[in-house]
Amino acid sequence: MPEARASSQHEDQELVRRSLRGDKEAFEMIIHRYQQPVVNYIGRMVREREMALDFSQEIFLKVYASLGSYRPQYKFSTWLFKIASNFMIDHWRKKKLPTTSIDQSFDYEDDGRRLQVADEAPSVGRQYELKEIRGRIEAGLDRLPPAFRELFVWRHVDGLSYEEMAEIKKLPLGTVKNRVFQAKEMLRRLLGETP
Amino acid sequence: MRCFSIEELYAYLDGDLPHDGVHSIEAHAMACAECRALLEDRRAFLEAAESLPDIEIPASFAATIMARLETVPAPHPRRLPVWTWFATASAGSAAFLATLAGIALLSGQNLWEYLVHLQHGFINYLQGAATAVIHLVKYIQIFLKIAGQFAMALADVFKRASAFLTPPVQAAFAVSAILILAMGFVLWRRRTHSLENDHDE
Repeated sequence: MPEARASSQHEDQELVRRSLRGDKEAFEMIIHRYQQPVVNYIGRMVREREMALDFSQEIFLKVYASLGSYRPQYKFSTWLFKIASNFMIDHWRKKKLPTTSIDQSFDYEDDGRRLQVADEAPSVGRQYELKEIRGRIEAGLDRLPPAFRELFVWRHVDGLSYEEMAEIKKLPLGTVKNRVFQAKEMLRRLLGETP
Repeated sequence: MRCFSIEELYAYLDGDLPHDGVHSIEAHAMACAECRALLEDRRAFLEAAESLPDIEIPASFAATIMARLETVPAPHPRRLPVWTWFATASAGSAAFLATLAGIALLSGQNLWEYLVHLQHGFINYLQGAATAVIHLVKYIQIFLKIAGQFAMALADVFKRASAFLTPPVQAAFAVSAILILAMGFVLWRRRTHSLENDHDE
């Protein structure tokens, strides 16, 4: 797996080099490699497919225009998701949507730091079929604060590593792990409330 | 054995626990029905989350972006700032002068005369060049004068030192000076590089 990642990173860097030399096919290959994770991320943030597609296109155009500032010592996907994340932050600022900062503490059981075993919520596995849980997760994501939703989607939908997420958000690794944990438990509890 | 926190159970499911931790949780879950149920519950939740369907992307998605590339400025490879080139040239010049000083020290030549000779030759050559580079020549001349004075002072120090230092010690001193300059340059580059990264992020 690490070899595959290193190889993929090497291929990304080669595609960037070719794009910078004016090879547009190379950039098209970059789009094909990353369109699905980017659209999955943006789609779960804005909750509207057409808007997600439009935003994702804008993000790839930003990526293209900024390729010259990409530094090969960084993972390309980290750089790309940083651009996507900044795009979403700008979007929320323009819309003046209420967002929960990742640095704010969230009003959650036991400060959300360490939930102990005592757990009154009904068992997800016993109550619902897998398909139904997926539907409830999709609906529950709407009610998750964007800053938590973003980390949850990166980790459990796009499969980003905690290290990569910490790099993108410029947060300590432990903070990212804790926030993802909080997001999971918030969402899991929302499943029971989601119609 | 104690029951585990939900956070620890997630870490287990995430593959984020050391081998001992994995073994402890598995052994405990075998014996504790409550923890086993919690573990299965979170496992089902994560399995569902990680198998959420992809958002459908139209086949024309990439082509649409490619058609719009003309509307954004073409990217250019990142260039190093001018001051980086200047600093590199300065460090190179310093290393060059240190080498000259070392050679002069070892050979017994007068470094100042040698530098002045170089300077005159350089100026004579530049005077025949196009007028567009005259300003550049002046800057180099000023730089060489300063560097010459610096080298003169340095040579004076070496001259005084050579009165009581043996040739091998003199050689070791010259080589050490060059190495220190080179190391200083490398460390400076690493520091400016990390500062640039911090700035970008």
